[in-house]
Order: sequence, then C-alpha cells, then structure tokens
Amino acid sequence: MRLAAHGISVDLPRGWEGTIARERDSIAGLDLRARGRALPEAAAAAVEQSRVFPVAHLATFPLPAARNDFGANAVERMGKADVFVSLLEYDPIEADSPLFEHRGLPRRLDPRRFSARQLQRTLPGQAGFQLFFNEGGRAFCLYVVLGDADDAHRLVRRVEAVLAKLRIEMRR
Amino acid sequence: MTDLLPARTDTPLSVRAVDKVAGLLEGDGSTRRRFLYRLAVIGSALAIDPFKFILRPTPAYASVCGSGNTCGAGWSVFCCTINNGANTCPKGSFVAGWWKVDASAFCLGSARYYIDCNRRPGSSCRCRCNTTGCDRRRVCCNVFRYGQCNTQIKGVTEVVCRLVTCTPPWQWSKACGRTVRVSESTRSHTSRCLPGQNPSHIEIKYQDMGLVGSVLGKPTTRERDGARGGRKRFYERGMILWHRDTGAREVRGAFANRYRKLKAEAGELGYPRTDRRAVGDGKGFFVRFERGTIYRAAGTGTRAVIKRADRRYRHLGGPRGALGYPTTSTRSAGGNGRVTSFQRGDIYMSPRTAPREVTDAILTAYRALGGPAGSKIGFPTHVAQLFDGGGRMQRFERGVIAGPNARRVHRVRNAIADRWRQEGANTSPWGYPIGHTEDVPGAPGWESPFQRAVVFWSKATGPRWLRGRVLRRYRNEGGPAGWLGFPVTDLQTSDAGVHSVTFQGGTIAYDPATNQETVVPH
Repeated sequence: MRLAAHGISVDLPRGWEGTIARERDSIAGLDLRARGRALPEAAAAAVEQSRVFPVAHLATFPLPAARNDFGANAVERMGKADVFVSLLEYDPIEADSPLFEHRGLPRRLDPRRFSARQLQRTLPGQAGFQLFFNEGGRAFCLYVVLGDADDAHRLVRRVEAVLAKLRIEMRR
Repeated sequence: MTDLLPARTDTPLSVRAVDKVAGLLEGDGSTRRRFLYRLAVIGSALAIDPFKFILRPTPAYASVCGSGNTCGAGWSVFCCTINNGANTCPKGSFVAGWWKVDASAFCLGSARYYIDCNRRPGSSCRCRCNTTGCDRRRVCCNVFRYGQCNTQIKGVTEVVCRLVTCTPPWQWSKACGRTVRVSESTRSHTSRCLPGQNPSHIEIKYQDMGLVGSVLGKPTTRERDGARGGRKRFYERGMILWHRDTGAREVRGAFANRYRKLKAEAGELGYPRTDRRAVGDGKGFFVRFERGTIYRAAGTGTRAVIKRADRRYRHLGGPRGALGYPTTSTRSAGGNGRVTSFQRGDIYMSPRTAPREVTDAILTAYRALGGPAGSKIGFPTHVAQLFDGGGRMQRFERGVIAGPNARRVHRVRNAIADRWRQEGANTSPWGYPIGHTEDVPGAPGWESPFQRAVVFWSKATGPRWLRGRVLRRYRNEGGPAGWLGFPVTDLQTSDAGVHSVTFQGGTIAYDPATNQETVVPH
C-alpha cells in the first residue's frame, strides 16, 4: 500500500497500515464544532494562531481512529511483535536550529539505542527511540515504539524496512 | 548507523518494580485496558512500599488527580506536585515542548496546554516515583521531548515534570513555537495543586503565572468581589483582577502600590486591561487600565496618567515620544482642571479644554506665572506653533505665551493677544512680545510691550498700540494713569507724515519733518 500526502510518501510493506494527516483541530475541538457549538473566543484565536503540520503514523497493528500525535491511545494496543512509527513535521523555521541539526531521516537504527525510558509514556515491556532531524528544508521528529524491548533487534529490522520506503520531499 | 542518544538503563529499582509488575499483569495486550486500573493501583502501592502492594489497595486518588495518576501508568508528574506548589520548571530543567487538549473543563472550554520541563543538559536528576499526594506519576524518568520550545538546546533528556497553562505556549513564553501537538489521553490528568475543573478566571491567571512560583507569591486573601461585578484576589506581591470587559490581569509591585492608592478598580483607573508590559526602550514598564495607564521607570517613579491626559500622551508617543516619562501622576491644577508633568513637558486639561501639552520655554514661563490658576490666561487651548526664525506661540483660554526664540517668551492677555494674532502674530508690525502683559499701576487696564510697539488696553478703549516719540511723550505725560488716560486710537500717520494718537484726555502728535511734538487736551 502506498501513502502520499503533504510531501511525505511511503510504500508500506505487507502487514503494515498507516496514515499521513494534518489535522486543524484535535478530535475534541472538532467534536465541539460538530455539535454546533462555537469554540470559546480565546480558543478560536489560539487555533488560528497555531500551526499544524502533518503527522505520519505507521504501525504493524490496527490503528485506532482516535490516537494522539506520539501514539498515545494506540501504543497501549500493541502486541509484543508490533512496532509503531510516528513521523511528525515541525515548523520549518526550526529546521536550522540545534535540536533539528541531525541531517536526514535515519534509514538504519541501532537496537541498543532503544530504551524503556525513551517513551512518551512508559508502558511495561515497550522500548522507544526519538530523533529530531531536518531534511529538504523541513524539520521532523521520528518516534519509534517497539512492542517488546527484549526483541529489539528483530523489531528494529521491521522498522528499518518501512524507513527504507519512506520519502520526504523538499520544502516548496 | 545514525548518531543516536545513549540508551538509558539506570532506572531505579522502585520504578523498575512498578514496571515489572505492570508487565506481568499485562499479558500480550489483548486485555490491556482492563488491567490499567489495576496497574495504577499496584504502581502507586509499590512506589510507597513494594512489599505491601498486594495487601493495600490505592485510595480513589484518581478522582482528584485524573486518570493515569500512578507511577506504573507511565506518565510524568506535574511540576507543582514536586516543586513546592510552583507551576514552574524546577531548577536544572527547561521548557522543552508542549501539547494540548482542546475544549478542556480545566480551562473553561478553551484548550489546556501541557508543557514539559526537561532536564537541562549538564544538570542531574534521579528517576523516581512521586510518593506524596495523589499525583504519583514519574519524576525525571521518561526521556522524551515534544520539541517546540528552546530548540537552541539540542538533544533529548528526561522529562522532570510538566506544567499546565490555559495560555497558548507561544504566548506564555517566547521560547516556544506554534507547532501543535495533541494528546487526548491526558485530558483528565491533573494534580491537587492545580485548579480544578471550571476554575475562576483568576485561578487560571494565577496558574498560568506559576502559582506560588509566580512573581505574585502566595495568596494572602480569598478571591472576592470587586467593583462593577468584577473579582479580585490579593497575593504577597500584587493582585489579580478580573472583569468581563478586561479579562484577568495582574498588577504587582510598585504598580500595585500606586493602583491601590488610587482606590484600585473602584477608582478612576478602573480594571487593568493589560499585565505589566515593557515600554520597549529598555528603561520602563507600564500597565494599561480602563481609564488610564500607570508608567514606571528608574528616576521618574511610578506614575498614573489618567483619562484624557493618557490618551493625549499616548497620541504623542507615550514614554518614547517627545514628553518622555511622567514625573507626577495626574493631579488637580485648579479651576477643576488637571495637570500631568513629564520629563519634557506638562499636559493640562479642564472641563472646558482638551488635553494639551506645554513644553520648553513656554512651559517654564507658564509655570513661573502660576500655571492655570495664577497665570491669568487659564488652560492651554492649542498646541504650540513654531514660526520661521525660531519664534513660537501657544494659545490659552485667555491669552497667549509667545516669543522670538526658545529663551524669551512672554504672556499676552486676552484682547491684546487677539489683536496681535489678527495683526499677523509673528509677522505683525509689533513683532514678538518682549514682556508680559501687566496691570497698569493706578489705572484699570493693561500694558503689553512688543519688539516694535507697546499696546495699552482698557475695557473702554480696547487694545491700542503706540511707539516712537508719541509713546515717549505719552509716558512723560504720565501714561494711562496720567491726564491723557488710555489711547482710543492706534498710532496713525497722516499723508503729511505726522504721527498721532488720540487718548481719552487729548491727542499727541509728532511731526518728523519738524521734530515737533504737540499735546492737545480735548
């Protein structure tokens, strides 16, 4: 399956699913509007001022519709053999900042760098890894969660398989 | 292979025990949600005493601190929980990123923002479970970064704790960017040290300022009613006031002292419209109110400029304009008028006159004459006019102050001033005034000297001007207080070149051809 949107594309290997989306509001905000209620003035102003960039979620398990940018509400559903990949774009003005100084999406990952501590939310058995980088004048964060820290070597190979098929276009 | 962060394996025993037990209960994930509550209970218990965790269930803390409030739930603790109640980043940490939850009851329906404080590179902290209160989440354990703040600091370090605001982070701190990240999973997360659901506007404001870690310090009163349906609360170093027209604003330090002297929101200033802001010149600050502004700068003190005076002052550029900072607050100036003094001028206003600035030599003369009450010319009605050659004039209710340069200006009163302006002011035959209009000793009228004439005025005769030999002879005959009285004509020159002026008691004529003066009584 091929996904392509917002200057990001990926050919997903068999057994993977994913989305590339850019949401204007969070689910709650959209729900509020769907119910015909206007956002409070301050909230509406904040929505207007904020900047929303695409987020790609790729996983080896069924992704719930309601999930958070770094995978909360999805990673809780992972099995031990599963992996979750989130590629999050940031404001391109940050691309030259020290945090995003790493150049290019990593295609190879060192399983030894994964840790149970490197998770947004520590969940038993899982291991995570996070890297900020720039590519094509754009700023990104790659966040990977492995379902089983003890099987990192095998699971990282699965992640690398999808990273090899992931493409980021130059900033227009 | 990429250059990645080193793996962190130094998780303490107590935290690992929580994770291990949670993992054993977890199974392969198909029934994970069912076990989350049990996991939370166990995590909390283990954090306190690993040997009793099975025997002692956790109290219903989650109802106070929201879901995922145990160490085993894997989330990071709130900063106020571990930072003596301060909703600020603890020492050795920095604001590293944020996410939001929309339509939050904790923010009255607006978005609630969660801001991570990560360990600052070079500092150290110990991964642990918080063991007090109901927010028993992790301290300095999760090596993770949202990444929108302080991007000049590279790398990913442990989240020490997280802050909460209802203010968008990019407004809350210049260090944060606007890239939105969301995490609905944290919607109910909170701590006992944070305001609860449906808080007051003042509670939200205080929270966003940092609670007890804010510049306001600790509360010293309960929140209470203010004037006109508003609310207010006092703190160690200031106050927060809310009104539906202005929102919640803080007033602190010297600003609060000045504000309270002026009866705070019940006084002339009304409710604050802004928090303290920098003027932008590196010298001063201000707080804007409904009906005025308080300014503060080193050397000029904390001064309130009220109502129309402030509007005029701001129209003139405020502290960065021609007047500089206020050196007094707006005060009474006599005749129901008011004056505000600045580094380089005053602004006067009255019920009859709009606020007008008086500066430079005109101000010096005006003040020396006694200002609105003593000068006999009332309040300024116009701004000063500058003429070619450096001359200047400013109009007042009952006269002008004018002069040929910045060093010499004088008061000209009422009808004499009107006549001078009709004659062309700076281009008049009289030239500029060289002395003040003064009462004539012994006669009910005024005398006003100009560069090329002297003008006499009485109620009966109006302003009349003389010069040269006729003027000299007039003075020799006793002037207005003498038998001639006041002039009833200006200096006139006949076709034959004879100069003459008619007075109340007679006529003086001077013939330059014969150099003869004649004085003829009526």
